[in-house]
Amino acid sequence: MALLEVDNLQTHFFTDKGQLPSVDGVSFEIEKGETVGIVGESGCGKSVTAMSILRLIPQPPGRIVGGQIRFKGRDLATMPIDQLRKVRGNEISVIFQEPMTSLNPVYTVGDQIMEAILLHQAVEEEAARSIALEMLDKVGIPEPVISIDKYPHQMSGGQKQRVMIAMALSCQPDLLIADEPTTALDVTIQAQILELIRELQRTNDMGVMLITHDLGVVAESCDKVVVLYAGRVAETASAVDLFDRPTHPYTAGLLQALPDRANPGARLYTIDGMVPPPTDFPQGCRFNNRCPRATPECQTVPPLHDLGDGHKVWCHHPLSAEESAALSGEDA
Amino acid sequence: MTRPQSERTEPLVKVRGLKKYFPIFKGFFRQRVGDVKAVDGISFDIMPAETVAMVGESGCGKTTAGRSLLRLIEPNAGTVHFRGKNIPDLAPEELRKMRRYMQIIFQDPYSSLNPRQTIGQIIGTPLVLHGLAKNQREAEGMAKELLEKVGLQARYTSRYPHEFSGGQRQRIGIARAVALNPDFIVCDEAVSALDVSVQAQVLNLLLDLKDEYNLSYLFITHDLSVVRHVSDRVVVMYLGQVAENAPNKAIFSKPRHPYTQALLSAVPRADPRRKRQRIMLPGDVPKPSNPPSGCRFHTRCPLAEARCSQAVPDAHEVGEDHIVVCHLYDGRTEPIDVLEEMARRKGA
Repeated sequence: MALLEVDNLQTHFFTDKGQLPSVDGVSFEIEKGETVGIVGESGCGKSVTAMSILRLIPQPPGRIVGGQIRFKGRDLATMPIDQLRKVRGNEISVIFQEPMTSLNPVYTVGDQIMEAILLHQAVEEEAARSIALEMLDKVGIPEPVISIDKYPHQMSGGQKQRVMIAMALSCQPDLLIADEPTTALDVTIQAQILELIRELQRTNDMGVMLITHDLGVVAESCDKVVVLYAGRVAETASAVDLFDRPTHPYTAGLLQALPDRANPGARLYTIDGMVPPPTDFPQGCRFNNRCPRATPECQTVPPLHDLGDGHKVWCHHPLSAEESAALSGEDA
Repeated sequence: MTRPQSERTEPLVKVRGLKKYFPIFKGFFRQRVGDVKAVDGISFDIMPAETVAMVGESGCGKTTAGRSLLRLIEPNAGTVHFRGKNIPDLAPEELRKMRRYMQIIFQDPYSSLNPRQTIGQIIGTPLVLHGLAKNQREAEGMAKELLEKVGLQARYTSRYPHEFSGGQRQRIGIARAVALNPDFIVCDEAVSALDVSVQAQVLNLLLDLKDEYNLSYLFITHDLSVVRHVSDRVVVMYLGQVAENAPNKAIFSKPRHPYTQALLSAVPRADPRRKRQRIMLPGDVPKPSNPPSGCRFHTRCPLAEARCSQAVPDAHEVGEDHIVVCHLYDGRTEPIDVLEEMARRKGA
């Protein structure tokens, strides 16, 4: 049994513009000790998927209308809220993108880390403080004894993200959901934070769901990748397979559009248009209005191609092995 | 665009010793207690039709540098020679006329367009002000052409900014910048807020316009894969100063400064098989209000020595048009590989 099994998750938003299928049948699994990357551009449903897992979708307008989210065999989608509270922050933790706005400005960082510990572990304040100190030290905050009494505004962006990680990991969760944890940070700090997550993952055998739009981060940190487009899974594969053999035209397009894959100064490959808003998702394959390989057939829901080893593609006209090999060959 | 023969090999923009300090006031009497030394004496050239990328982390002063050389904020010291004039010396009226030739594209496509003006007004008004169009009507017509040039439909001139997506707004910002037929455009993180597929579209557009208008760009960005793709020359900034300035090829194949090497090694590559060893820099960038003594990078540099905290390093020319400001290159020009050197020192 996988640590987390998301099965045909459907999260829709009920608005004046109608029922918006932001996440519409997403399935994937995360094993213990594994890092799964969820990638896609803005509006593809990455964050809604993550927030659905912990039922943090504001309701209304949002609602999980179908599917199961099995965490260690229990369905989070239907679990009573008081039981879910014991899972949140304890067995599953989240790190958000914005370290600047995710911390409460009127409490010290120590208070905020201790809150989670006191809530989920049977310890006294004294002990919680020493766990908090230990966590701050682990995540590389200088002088934890002094920093623990600082307020968020007294820290830099990188330090705040470290505090968020300390808070998320203070109860040694089995699953960490990291929603664009390094997007707001500089590359040298990003490298530190990703390394830190990897290190803590190794010691705890923690599963990590890493949401990002940065394919470089995916290549370096993930074991498995789920490519989302307009609320659906386009392709899923091991990280090595995905970059070696991109098979969905959208994945192939994304990889080709990266400036580091092109010759300097040459024109970049582009995918026409942009991700449609959930009000305008096309019929059938949702990529059909931007896809260079689209045919009338693409007006119907695309079939699954199973390439083995967990490499799955939902497309009427997937790239052949030769075509995708030619793409990754260009990178030489 | 014709320039006299003599100017052709001259830099289009020549920046020397540019400084911008922001004062810090404290207490009831608002006494000046110090300065944030955002840009602290930088010099570089931009040649005609050249793209210079300015890179560095948050707080290194790259945005301030771009704005103070256009005098969108007033620099404290230094010269910026452009079209035979020193920009910081220009009287307001002269500066206004000069603006035609130097434009900027901002990072945030959501806050850089006036929400109460139509796209036609946004692009057309500067054309009227600078006398390129006789009236607003003629300007609208020119705006339509410009919109088509940046890949949008001509009829969009009557629409308002909120009706467009981020990528489309960035195209409008580009149309506004090229409307006056400038020589030089500062692109301040112009593609950073865009998704990969849209970013590629906008980068292609910028490259096309560069060829068409013979433009020079100062491309301010933190994204090194974009830098590698678009730039002819790269200026690496750290804490308000230039660390290294070199042609694109040299920066990416033979980076000299330890900071440049660390920055390049920190960029994740979209290739799971090519995992590299990283130069991990400890800690954060120090505060520009109280920069470290000597070489400003010494607090994070893996190869720092005693002299690095004591003496300010000189600028060394280590190759053709390749300048590095680092003590390691006192009397040597060959690159020192930081990881190898760290291993060697550990062994010794």
